[in-house]
Amino acid sequence: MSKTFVIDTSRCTACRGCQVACKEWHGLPANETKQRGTHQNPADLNPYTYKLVRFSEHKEDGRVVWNFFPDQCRHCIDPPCKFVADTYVKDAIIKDEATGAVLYTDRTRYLDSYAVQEVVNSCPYNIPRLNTGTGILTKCDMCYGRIRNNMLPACVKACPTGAMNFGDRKDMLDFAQARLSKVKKDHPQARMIDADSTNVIYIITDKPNNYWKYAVASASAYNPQSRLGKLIAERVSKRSKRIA
Amino acid sequence: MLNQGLTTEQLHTNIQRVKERNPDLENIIGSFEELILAKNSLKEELSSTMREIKAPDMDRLASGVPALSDLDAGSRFPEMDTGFQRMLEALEAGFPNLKRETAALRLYIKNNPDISPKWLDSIIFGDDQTISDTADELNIDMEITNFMLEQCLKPYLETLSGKMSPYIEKMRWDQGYCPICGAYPDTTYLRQKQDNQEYLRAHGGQRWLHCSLCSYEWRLRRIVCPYCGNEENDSLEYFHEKNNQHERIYVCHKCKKYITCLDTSQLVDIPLMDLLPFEMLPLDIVAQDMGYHPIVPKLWSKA
Repeated sequence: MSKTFVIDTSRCTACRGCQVACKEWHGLPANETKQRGTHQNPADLNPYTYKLVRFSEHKEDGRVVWNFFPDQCRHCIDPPCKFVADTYVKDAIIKDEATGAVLYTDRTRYLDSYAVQEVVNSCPYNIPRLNTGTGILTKCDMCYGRIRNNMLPACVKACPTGAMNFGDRKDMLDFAQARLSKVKKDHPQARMIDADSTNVIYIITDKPNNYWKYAVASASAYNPQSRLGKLIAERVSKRSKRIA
Repeated sequence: MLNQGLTTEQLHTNIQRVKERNPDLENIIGSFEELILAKNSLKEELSSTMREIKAPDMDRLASGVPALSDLDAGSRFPEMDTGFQRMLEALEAGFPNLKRETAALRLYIKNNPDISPKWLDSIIFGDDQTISDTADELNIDMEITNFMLEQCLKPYLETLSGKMSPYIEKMRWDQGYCPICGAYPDTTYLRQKQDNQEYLRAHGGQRWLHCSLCSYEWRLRRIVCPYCGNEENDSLEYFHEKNNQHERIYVCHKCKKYITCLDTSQLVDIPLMDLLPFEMLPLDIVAQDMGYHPIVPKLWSKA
Protein backbone atom coordinates (compact mmCIF):
# COMPACT_ATOMS: atom_id res chain seq x y z
CA MET A 1 0.00 0.00 0.00
CA SER A 2 1.39 3.40 -0.91
CA LYS A 3 2.25 5.99 1.68
CA THR A 4 0.55 9.36 1.98
CA PHE A 5 1.20 12.68 3.67
CA VAL A 6 -1.58 14.69 5.25
CA ILE A 7 -0.59 18.34 5.62
CA ASP A 8 -3.05 20.05 7.91
CA THR A 9 -2.43 23.76 7.30
CA SER A 10 -4.88 24.63 10.09
CA ARG A 11 -2.19 23.44 12.53
CA CYS A 12 0.77 24.97 10.72
CA THR A 13 2.45 27.84 12.61
CA ALA A 14 5.02 28.41 9.83
CA CYS A 15 7.94 27.56 12.11
CA ARG A 16 9.66 26.13 9.01
CA GLY A 17 11.00 23.20 11.02
CA CYS A 18 10.00 20.95 8.09
CA GLN A 19 11.88 23.10 5.60
CA VAL A 20 15.05 23.07 7.71
CA ALA A 21 14.78 19.35 8.52
CA CYS A 22 14.48 18.59 4.80
CA LYS A 23 17.61 20.59 4.03
CA GLU A 24 19.47 18.96 6.92
CA TRP A 25 18.54 15.41 5.97
CA HIS A 26 19.41 15.87 2.30
CA GLY A 27 22.60 17.78 3.14
CA LEU A 28 21.58 20.72 0.95
CA PRO A 29 23.65 23.91 1.06
CA ALA A 30 22.26 27.28 2.13
CA ASN A 31 20.82 29.76 -0.37
CA GLU A 32 21.89 33.36 -0.45
CA THR A 33 18.72 35.40 -0.07
CA LYS A 34 17.63 39.00 0.21
CA GLN A 35 15.22 40.80 2.53
CA ARG A 36 12.07 41.00 0.44
CA GLY A 37 9.65 42.07 3.14
CA THR A 38 8.32 38.54 3.73
CA HIS A 39 9.15 35.62 5.97
CA GLN A 40 9.00 33.33 2.93
CA ASN A 41 12.61 32.48 2.48
CA PRO A 42 14.02 31.59 0.00
CA ALA A 43 11.64 33.17 -2.47
CA ASP A 44 10.82 29.92 -4.26
CA LEU A 45 11.67 26.23 -4.46
CA ASN A 46 15.12 25.69 -5.93
CA PRO A 47 17.61 22.83 -6.38
CA TYR A 48 18.69 23.26 -2.73
CA THR A 49 15.18 23.69 -1.32
CA TYR A 50 12.81 20.77 -1.89
CA LYS A 51 10.32 22.02 0.66
CA LEU A 52 9.22 25.59 1.19
CA VAL A 53 6.74 27.14 3.60
CA ARG A 54 4.91 29.72 1.52
CA PHE A 55 3.51 32.79 3.28
CA SER A 56 0.49 34.53 1.82
CA GLU A 57 -1.56 37.38 3.23
CA HIS A 58 -4.74 39.06 2.11
CA LYS A 59 -7.45 41.22 3.62
CA GLU A 60 -10.86 39.83 4.49
CA ASP A 61 -13.55 42.07 6.04
CA GLY A 62 -10.85 44.58 6.96
CA ARG A 63 -8.85 41.89 8.78
CA VAL A 64 -5.51 40.50 7.68
CA VAL A 65 -5.53 36.78 7.00
CA TRP A 66 -2.11 35.15 6.95
CA ASN A 67 -1.93 31.72 5.35
CA PHE A 68 0.91 29.23 5.51
CA PHE A 69 1.46 26.54 2.92
CA PRO A 70 4.26 23.95 3.30
CA ASP A 71 4.81 23.31 -0.43
CA GLN A 72 6.38 20.12 -1.77
CA CYS A 73 6.06 17.45 -4.46
CA ARG A 74 2.61 15.80 -4.31
CA HIS A 75 3.85 12.37 -5.41
CA CYS A 76 0.96 12.10 -7.89
CA ILE A 77 -0.72 8.74 -8.28
CA ASP A 78 -0.37 9.16 -12.08
CA PRO A 79 2.64 11.49 -12.27
CA PRO A 80 2.61 13.55 -15.51
CA CYS A 81 6.32 14.35 -15.06
CA LYS A 82 7.13 10.65 -15.29
CA PHE A 83 5.00 10.15 -18.40
CA VAL A 84 6.78 13.04 -20.09
CA ALA A 85 10.27 12.00 -19.01
CA ASP A 86 9.63 8.41 -20.16
CA THR A 87 9.11 9.64 -23.72
CA TYR A 88 12.67 11.04 -23.70
CA VAL A 89 14.81 8.99 -21.27
CA LYS A 90 13.51 5.78 -19.75
CA ASP A 91 13.74 5.61 -15.95
CA ALA A 92 14.92 9.19 -15.61
CA ILE A 93 11.88 9.46 -13.35
CA ILE A 94 10.57 6.38 -11.58
CA LYS A 95 7.63 5.62 -9.36
CA ASP A 96 8.16 3.22 -6.47
CA GLU A 97 5.03 1.11 -6.30
CA ALA A 98 5.57 0.03 -2.67
CA THR A 99 5.62 3.57 -1.28
CA GLY A 100 4.07 5.61 -4.11
CA ALA A 101 7.16 7.87 -4.13
CA VAL A 102 7.92 9.61 -7.43
CA LEU A 103 11.71 9.69 -7.66
CA TYR A 104 13.99 11.73 -9.91
CA THR A 105 17.09 9.68 -10.66
CA ASP A 106 20.55 10.69 -11.80
CA ARG A 107 19.42 9.77 -15.30
CA THR A 108 17.47 13.04 -15.46
CA ARG A 109 20.82 14.55 -16.48
CA TYR A 110 20.34 12.90 -19.89
CA LEU A 111 17.19 14.92 -20.51
CA ASP A 112 18.00 17.73 -22.93
CA SER A 113 16.94 21.29 -22.20
CA TYR A 114 13.75 20.94 -24.24
CA ALA A 115 12.78 17.76 -22.40
CA VAL A 116 13.55 19.34 -19.02
CA GLN A 117 11.27 22.23 -19.87
CA GLU A 118 8.51 19.82 -20.88
CA VAL A 119 8.89 17.89 -17.59
CA VAL A 120 8.79 21.09 -15.55
CA ASN A 121 5.78 22.37 -17.49
CA SER A 122 3.95 19.08 -17.08
CA CYS A 123 3.86 19.39 -13.29
CA PRO A 124 0.43 20.68 -12.22
CA TYR A 125 1.99 22.03 -9.01
CA ASN A 126 5.11 23.73 -10.42
CA ILE A 127 7.55 21.65 -8.35
CA PRO A 128 10.57 20.36 -10.33
CA ARG A 129 13.71 22.51 -10.38
CA LEU A 130 16.85 21.96 -12.44
CA ASN A 131 20.24 21.94 -10.79
CA THR A 132 22.17 23.67 -13.56
CA GLY A 133 25.48 22.57 -12.05
CA THR A 134 24.82 18.82 -12.16
CA GLY A 135 22.09 18.85 -14.82
CA ILE A 136 19.87 16.80 -12.49
CA LEU A 137 16.21 17.58 -11.88
CA THR A 138 15.41 17.91 -8.19
CA LYS A 139 12.45 17.77 -5.83
CA CYS A 140 11.18 16.05 -2.65
CA ASP A 141 11.99 12.29 -2.64
CA MET A 142 9.60 11.40 0.22
CA CYS A 143 12.79 10.73 2.23
CA TYR A 144 12.86 7.40 0.43
CA GLY A 145 15.89 6.09 2.32
CA ARG A 146 14.25 6.86 5.64
CA ILE A 147 10.82 5.42 4.93
CA ARG A 148 12.29 2.18 3.55
CA ASN A 149 13.79 1.84 7.02
CA ASN A 150 10.48 2.60 8.71
CA MET A 151 11.55 6.11 9.75
CA LEU A 152 9.23 9.08 9.25
CA PRO A 153 10.22 11.60 6.56
CA ALA A 154 12.43 14.32 8.05
CA CYS A 155 9.75 17.03 7.67
CA VAL A 156 7.15 14.95 9.50
CA LYS A 157 9.52 14.02 12.29
CA ALA A 158 10.45 17.67 12.84
CA CYS A 159 6.91 19.09 12.84
CA PRO A 160 6.06 20.22 16.38
CA THR A 161 2.37 20.93 15.84
CA GLY A 162 0.99 17.85 14.08
CA ALA A 163 0.53 19.69 10.77
CA MET A 164 2.68 17.11 8.97
CA ASN A 165 1.44 13.52 9.09
CA PHE A 166 2.51 10.39 7.24
CA GLY A 167 1.39 6.77 6.98
CA ASP A 168 -0.40 4.13 4.92
CA ARG A 169 -2.69 5.76 2.36
CA LYS A 170 -5.86 4.20 3.72
CA ASP A 171 -5.13 5.27 7.29
CA MET A 172 -4.18 8.76 6.15
CA LEU A 173 -7.40 9.15 4.13
CA ASP A 174 -9.38 8.25 7.25
CA PHE A 175 -7.27 10.58 9.35
CA ALA A 176 -7.69 13.45 6.87
CA GLN A 177 -11.47 12.95 6.77
CA ALA A 178 -11.72 12.95 10.56
CA ARG A 179 -9.49 15.98 10.85
CA LEU A 180 -11.43 17.85 8.14
CA SER A 181 -14.74 17.36 9.97
CA LYS A 182 -13.16 18.85 13.07
CA VAL A 183 -11.55 21.79 11.26
CA LYS A 184 -14.83 22.55 9.45
CA LYS A 185 -16.47 23.46 12.74
CA ASP A 186 -14.24 26.55 12.96
CA HIS A 187 -13.63 27.02 9.24
CA PRO A 188 -16.71 26.14 7.17
CA GLN A 189 -14.69 26.69 3.96
CA ALA A 190 -12.15 24.02 4.91
CA ARG A 191 -11.46 21.39 2.27
CA MET A 192 -9.02 18.73 1.15
CA ILE A 193 -6.92 19.29 -1.95
CA ASP A 194 -6.64 16.67 -4.72
CA ALA A 195 -6.96 13.72 -2.32
CA ASP A 196 -7.89 11.33 -5.15
CA SER A 197 -4.97 12.06 -7.41
CA THR A 198 -1.99 12.68 -5.13
CA ASN A 199 -0.21 11.16 -2.15
CA VAL A 200 0.14 14.52 -0.43
CA ILE A 201 -3.23 15.65 0.85
CA TYR A 202 -3.57 19.20 2.12
CA ILE A 203 -6.28 20.39 4.44
CA ILE A 204 -6.81 24.10 3.86
CA THR A 205 -9.18 26.49 5.60
CA ASP A 206 -9.35 29.22 2.96
CA LYS A 207 -9.74 29.42 -0.84
CA PRO A 208 -6.77 27.69 -2.56
CA ASN A 209 -5.76 30.88 -4.36
CA ASN A 210 -5.32 32.60 -1.01
CA TYR A 211 -2.44 30.21 -0.34
CA TRP A 212 -0.53 29.87 -3.57
CA LYS A 213 -1.54 29.80 -7.22
CA TYR A 214 -0.38 26.19 -7.64
CA ALA A 215 -1.95 24.95 -4.39
CA VAL A 216 -4.43 22.89 -6.44
CA ALA A 217 -3.55 21.18 -9.73
CA SER A 218 -3.20 23.82 -12.35
CA ALA A 219 -4.60 22.75 -15.72
CA SER A 220 -2.70 25.56 -17.39
CA ALA A 221 0.66 24.26 -16.20
CA TYR A 222 1.02 22.54 -19.55
CA ASN A 223 -0.78 23.16 -22.80
CA PRO A 224 -3.21 20.29 -23.45
CA GLN A 225 -3.31 21.23 -27.15
CA SER A 226 0.43 20.77 -27.65
CA ARG A 227 1.85 17.50 -29.02
CA LEU A 228 3.04 16.64 -25.53
CA GLY A 229 -0.18 17.71 -23.87
CA LYS A 230 -2.10 15.30 -26.10
CA LEU A 231 0.41 12.56 -25.35
CA ILE A 232 -0.03 13.02 -21.61
CA ALA A 233 -3.81 13.08 -21.92
CA GLU A 234 -3.67 9.88 -23.95
CA ARG A 235 -1.44 8.12 -21.42
CA VAL A 236 -3.50 9.19 -18.44
CA SER A 237 -6.66 8.05 -20.17
CA LYS A 238 -5.11 4.65 -21.03
CA ARG A 239 -3.98 4.26 -17.45
CA SER A 240 -7.41 5.13 -16.04
CA LYS A 241 -9.03 2.60 -18.37
CA ARG A 242 -6.59 -0.05 -17.19
CA ILE A 243 -7.37 0.73 -13.55
CA ALA A 244 -11.12 0.78 -14.26
CA MET B 1 -1.57 -2.55 23.69
CA LEU B 2 0.16 -1.56 20.50
CA ASN B 3 -1.00 -4.44 18.29
CA GLN B 4 -4.53 -4.74 19.64
CA GLY B 5 -7.21 -5.38 17.04
CA LEU B 6 -4.77 -6.32 14.27
CA THR B 7 -6.60 -8.33 11.58
CA THR B 8 -5.03 -11.45 10.05
CA GLU B 9 -4.45 -9.49 6.84
CA GLN B 10 -2.70 -6.67 8.70
CA LEU B 11 -0.65 -9.27 10.55
CA HIS B 12 0.50 -10.78 7.24
CA THR B 13 1.40 -7.34 5.85
CA ASN B 14 3.32 -6.45 8.99
CA ILE B 15 5.28 -9.71 8.99
CA GLN B 16 6.23 -9.11 5.35
CA ARG B 17 7.36 -5.57 6.15
CA VAL B 18 9.52 -6.78 9.04
CA LYS B 19 11.08 -9.31 6.67
CA GLU B 20 11.77 -6.65 4.04
CA ARG B 21 13.33 -4.35 6.60
CA ASN B 22 15.52 -7.09 8.02
CA PRO B 23 16.73 -9.35 5.22
CA ASP B 24 19.42 -10.70 7.56
CA LEU B 25 16.78 -11.97 9.97
CA GLU B 26 14.63 -13.68 7.36
CA ASN B 27 15.41 -17.16 8.72
CA ILE B 28 14.50 -16.49 12.31
CA ILE B 29 11.41 -14.46 11.39
CA GLY B 30 10.35 -17.18 8.93
CA SER B 31 10.61 -19.76 11.72
CA PHE B 32 8.37 -17.81 14.05
CA GLU B 33 5.87 -16.77 11.37
CA GLU B 34 3.91 -20.05 11.54
CA LEU B 35 3.78 -19.84 15.32
CA ILE B 36 2.49 -16.27 15.27
CA LEU B 37 -0.25 -17.08 12.75
CA ALA B 38 -1.27 -20.25 14.60
CA LYS B 39 -1.29 -18.36 17.87
CA ASN B 40 -3.53 -15.68 16.46
CA SER B 41 -6.12 -18.04 15.05
CA LEU B 42 -6.17 -20.10 18.27
CA LYS B 43 -6.53 -16.97 20.39
CA GLU B 44 -9.67 -15.96 18.49
CA GLU B 45 -11.27 -19.32 19.37
CA LEU B 46 -10.05 -19.32 22.96
CA SER B 47 -11.51 -15.96 23.84
CA SER B 48 -15.01 -17.31 23.19
CA THR B 49 -14.58 -20.79 24.70
CA MET B 50 -12.63 -19.76 27.79
CA ARG B 51 -14.34 -20.06 31.18
CA GLU B 52 -15.00 -16.77 32.96
CA ILE B 53 -12.34 -15.51 35.34
CA LYS B 54 -12.94 -13.63 38.54
CA ALA B 55 -11.71 -10.08 39.05
CA PRO B 56 -8.28 -9.91 40.69
CA ASP B 57 -7.90 -8.91 44.33
CA MET B 58 -7.11 -5.20 43.95
CA ASP B 59 -5.47 -4.94 47.39
CA ARG B 60 -3.06 -7.72 46.59
CA LEU B 61 -2.38 -6.19 43.18
CA ALA B 62 -1.68 -2.82 44.77
CA SER B 63 0.92 -4.48 46.97
CA GLY B 64 2.68 -5.89 43.92
CA VAL B 65 1.23 -9.41 43.56
CA PRO B 66 0.55 -10.25 39.89
CA ALA B 67 -3.08 -10.95 39.00
CA LEU B 68 -2.66 -14.56 37.84
CA SER B 69 -1.05 -15.61 41.14
CA ASP B 70 -4.50 -16.22 42.61
CA LEU B 71 -5.97 -18.04 39.62
CA ASP B 72 -5.77 -21.69 38.66
CA ALA B 73 -5.21 -20.66 35.05
CA GLY B 74 -5.00 -24.20 33.69
CA SER B 75 -8.60 -25.00 34.55
CA ARG B 76 -9.93 -22.04 32.54
CA PHE B 77 -9.51 -23.75 29.18
CA PRO B 78 -11.62 -26.79 28.23
CA GLU B 79 -9.92 -29.26 25.87
CA MET B 80 -6.54 -27.60 26.05
CA ASP B 81 -4.80 -30.52 24.37
CA THR B 82 -6.32 -29.89 20.93
CA GLY B 83 -5.02 -26.35 20.76
CA PHE B 84 -1.69 -27.45 22.19
CA GLN B 85 -1.33 -30.01 19.40
CA ARG B 86 -2.04 -27.30 16.81
CA MET B 87 0.70 -25.14 18.24
CA LEU B 88 3.07 -28.13 18.17
CA GLU B 89 2.35 -28.55 14.46
CA ALA B 90 3.19 -24.88 13.84
CA LEU B 91 6.33 -25.28 15.94
CA GLU B 92 7.41 -28.26 13.89
CA ALA B 93 6.72 -26.41 10.62
CA GLY B 94 8.83 -23.44 11.70
CA PHE B 95 11.56 -25.49 13.39
CA PRO B 96 12.02 -28.72 11.42
CA ASN B 97 15.12 -29.50 13.50
CA LEU B 98 12.91 -29.99 16.53
CA LYS B 99 11.02 -32.83 14.86
CA ARG B 100 12.10 -35.46 17.39
CA GLU B 101 11.27 -33.20 20.34
CA THR B 102 7.84 -32.15 19.05
CA ALA B 103 6.96 -35.78 18.30
CA ALA B 104 7.97 -36.77 21.84
CA LEU B 105 5.90 -33.96 23.35
CA ARG B 106 2.91 -34.87 21.21
CA LEU B 107 3.04 -38.48 22.40
CA TYR B 108 3.50 -37.34 25.99
CA ILE B 109 0.30 -35.26 25.86
CA LYS B 110 -1.59 -38.18 24.34
CA ASN B 111 -0.53 -40.42 27.24
CA ASN B 112 -1.04 -37.72 29.91
CA PRO B 113 -4.26 -35.91 28.94
CA ASP B 114 -4.24 -33.58 31.98
CA ILE B 115 -0.69 -32.39 31.65
CA SER B 116 -1.13 -29.21 29.57
CA PRO B 117 -3.12 -27.28 32.22
CA LYS B 118 -0.41 -28.24 34.70
CA TRP B 119 2.28 -26.91 32.40
CA LEU B 120 0.39 -23.65 32.03
CA ASP B 121 0.33 -23.22 35.81
CA SER B 122 4.01 -24.18 36.06
CA ILE B 123 5.03 -21.60 33.48
CA ILE B 124 3.03 -18.87 35.24
CA PHE B 125 4.36 -19.73 38.71
CA GLY B 126 7.91 -20.28 37.46
CA ASP B 127 7.74 -23.87 38.79
CA ASP B 128 10.84 -25.24 37.11
CA GLN B 129 10.51 -28.66 38.78
CA THR B 130 7.51 -29.80 36.70
CA ILE B 131 9.19 -28.65 33.49
CA SER B 132 12.49 -30.21 34.43
CA ASP B 133 10.67 -33.50 35.23
CA THR B 134 9.08 -33.38 31.77
CA ALA B 135 12.45 -32.66 30.17
CA ASP B 136 14.07 -35.59 32.00
CA GLU B 137 11.26 -37.94 31.14
CA LEU B 138 11.39 -37.02 27.46
CA ASN B 139 15.18 -36.81 27.41
CA ILE B 140 15.05 -33.30 25.94
CA ASP B 141 17.27 -30.40 26.94
CA MET B 142 15.62 -28.31 29.69
CA GLU B 143 15.98 -25.04 27.76
CA ILE B 144 14.43 -26.51 24.64
CA THR B 145 11.56 -27.99 26.65
CA ASN B 146 10.97 -24.61 28.23
CA PHE B 147 11.06 -22.88 24.84
CA MET B 148 8.60 -25.35 23.29
CA LEU B 149 6.16 -25.18 26.20
CA GLU B 150 6.32 -21.40 26.30
CA GLN B 151 5.64 -21.10 22.57
CA CYS B 152 2.74 -23.58 22.68
CA LEU B 153 1.22 -21.94 25.75
CA LYS B 154 1.49 -18.37 24.40
CA PRO B 155 -2.08 -18.27 23.02
CA TYR B 156 -3.43 -19.29 26.43
CA LEU B 157 -1.27 -16.82 28.30
CA GLU B 158 -2.21 -13.99 25.95
CA THR B 159 -5.92 -14.84 26.16
CA LEU B 160 -5.67 -14.73 29.95
CA SER B 161 -3.85 -11.40 29.88
CA GLY B 162 -6.41 -10.02 27.40
CA LYS B 163 -9.25 -10.94 29.81
CA MET B 164 -7.40 -9.61 32.82
CA SER B 165 -6.16 -6.35 31.28
CA PRO B 166 -9.38 -4.28 31.75
CA TYR B 167 -8.93 -4.62 35.53
CA ILE B 168 -5.25 -3.74 35.45
CA GLU B 169 -5.45 -0.75 33.12
CA LYS B 170 -7.39 1.22 35.71
CA MET B 171 -4.71 0.94 38.35
CA ARG B 172 -1.17 2.19 38.83
CA TRP B 173 1.58 -0.42 38.53
CA ASP B 174 5.09 0.68 39.41
CA GLN B 175 6.93 -2.62 39.06
CA GLY B 176 9.33 -3.83 36.40
CA TYR B 177 7.57 -7.22 36.24
CA CYS B 178 4.25 -7.92 34.58
CA PRO B 179 1.13 -7.08 36.62
CA ILE B 180 -0.64 -10.07 35.12
CA CYS B 181 1.79 -13.00 35.06
CA GLY B 182 4.78 -11.63 36.97
CA ALA B 183 7.35 -12.21 34.20
CA TYR B 184 9.96 -9.62 33.24
CA PRO B 185 9.78 -7.70 29.95
CA ASP B 186 11.68 -8.84 26.86
CA THR B 187 11.66 -5.42 25.20
CA THR B 188 10.26 -1.92 25.62
CA TYR B 189 9.07 0.91 23.42
CA LEU B 190 8.45 4.64 23.71
CA ARG B 191 5.11 5.95 22.54
CA GLN B 192 3.90 9.49 22.10
CA LYS B 193 0.66 10.39 23.76
CA GLN B 194 -1.86 10.77 20.90
CA ASP B 195 -4.50 13.12 22.19
CA ASN B 196 -4.65 15.47 19.23
CA GLN B 197 -3.93 18.40 21.48
CA GLU B 198 -4.13 21.90 20.11
CA TYR B 199 -0.72 23.02 21.35
CA LEU B 200 2.84 22.04 20.50
CA ARG B 201 3.75 18.40 20.71
CA ALA B 202 6.59 17.17 22.86
CA HIS B 203 9.02 14.90 21.07
CA GLY B 204 9.43 12.54 24.02
CA GLY B 205 7.35 9.51 24.82
CA GLN B 206 6.11 7.25 27.56
CA ARG B 207 7.94 3.99 28.13
CA TRP B 208 5.93 0.81 27.72
CA LEU B 209 7.20 -2.63 28.73
CA HIS B 210 6.29 -5.77 26.80
CA CYS B 211 5.91 -8.93 28.92
CA SER B 212 8.12 -11.76 27.71
CA LEU B 213 5.51 -14.35 28.69
CA CYS B 214 1.92 -13.10 28.34
CA SER B 215 2.67 -10.13 26.00
CA TYR B 216 0.85 -7.63 28.25
CA GLU B 217 2.16 -4.09 27.96
CA TRP B 218 2.37 -1.70 30.89
CA ARG B 219 3.78 1.75 31.38
CA LEU B 220 6.78 2.36 33.63
CA ARG B 221 8.78 5.51 34.39
CA ARG B 222 11.78 5.90 32.11
CA ILE B 223 14.28 6.61 34.86
CA VAL B 224 14.11 3.28 36.63
CA CYS B 225 15.74 -0.08 35.92
CA PRO B 226 12.89 -2.57 35.38
CA TYR B 227 15.00 -5.35 36.89
CA CYS B 228 16.48 -3.96 40.12
CA GLY B 229 14.44 -0.79 40.57
CA ASN B 230 17.57 1.42 40.61
CA GLU B 231 16.61 5.08 40.15
CA GLU B 232 20.02 6.76 40.40
CA ASN B 233 20.48 8.62 37.16
CA ASP B 234 24.27 8.37 37.16
CA SER B 235 24.06 4.58 36.99
CA LEU B 236 21.40 4.40 34.29
CA GLU B 237 22.38 5.01 30.69
CA TYR B 238 21.24 4.34 27.17
CA PHE B 239 23.14 3.77 23.95
CA HIS B 240 22.22 3.98 20.31
CA GLU B 241 23.90 3.84 16.95
CA LYS B 242 24.90 7.26 15.60
CA ASN B 243 22.46 7.22 12.70
CA ASN B 244 19.78 5.10 14.30
CA GLN B 245 18.63 6.95 17.36
CA HIS B 246 15.28 5.25 17.69
CA GLU B 247 16.71 1.80 18.52
CA ARG B 248 18.31 1.90 21.95
CA ILE B 249 19.82 -0.20 24.70
CA TYR B 250 18.98 0.91 28.25
CA VAL B 251 21.54 -0.38 30.76
CA CYS B 252 21.81 -0.38 34.53
CA HIS B 253 25.35 -0.20 35.93
CA LYS B 254 24.17 -1.52 39.28
CA CYS B 255 22.68 -4.88 38.23
CA LYS B 256 24.49 -5.02 34.88
CA LYS B 257 21.24 -5.83 33.07
CA TYR B 258 20.04 -4.26 29.84
CA ILE B 259 16.80 -3.99 27.91
CA THR B 260 16.23 -2.89 24.33
CA CYS B 261 13.91 0.01 23.52
CA LEU B 262 12.31 1.28 20.34
CA ASP B 263 11.21 4.91 20.05
CA THR B 264 8.04 4.50 17.98
CA SER B 265 7.38 8.23 17.75
CA GLN B 266 9.83 8.43 14.85
CA LEU B 267 8.48 5.45 12.92
CA VAL B 268 6.06 5.11 10.03
CA ASP B 269 4.72 1.65 10.95
CA ILE B 270 4.15 0.56 14.53
CA PRO B 271 6.24 -2.51 15.38
CA LEU B 272 4.85 -6.02 15.53
CA MET B 273 5.48 -6.84 19.18
CA ASP B 274 5.85 -10.58 18.51
CA LEU B 275 8.78 -9.84 16.22
CA LEU B 276 10.27 -6.77 17.87
CA PRO B 277 12.69 -8.77 20.09
CA PHE B 278 14.13 -10.27 16.89
CA GLU B 279 14.41 -6.90 15.15
CA MET B 280 16.40 -5.77 18.18
CA LEU B 281 18.82 -8.73 18.05
CA PRO B 282 21.77 -6.67 16.74
CA LEU B 283 21.46 -4.52 19.87
CA ASP B 284 21.45 -7.64 22.08
CA ILE B 285 24.77 -8.63 20.60
CA VAL B 286 26.27 -5.18 21.21
CA ALA B 287 24.93 -5.00 24.79
CA GLN B 288 26.28 -8.44 25.65
CA ASP B 289 29.66 -7.59 24.11
CA MET B 290 29.70 -4.59 26.45
CA GLY B 291 29.29 -6.93 29.40
CA TYR B 292 25.58 -6.53 30.17
CA HIS B 293 23.08 -9.36 30.58
CA PRO B 294 19.54 -9.61 29.23
CA ILE B 295 16.80 -9.33 31.85
CA VAL B 296 15.07 -12.32 30.27
CA PRO B 297 17.60 -14.57 28.51
CA LYS B 298 16.00 -16.30 25.54
CA LEU B 299 17.42 -19.04 23.37
CA TRP B 300 17.95 -16.55 20.54
CA SER B 301 19.19 -13.57 22.52
CA LYS B 302 21.75 -15.00 24.90
CA ALA B 303 25.40 -15.35 24.16
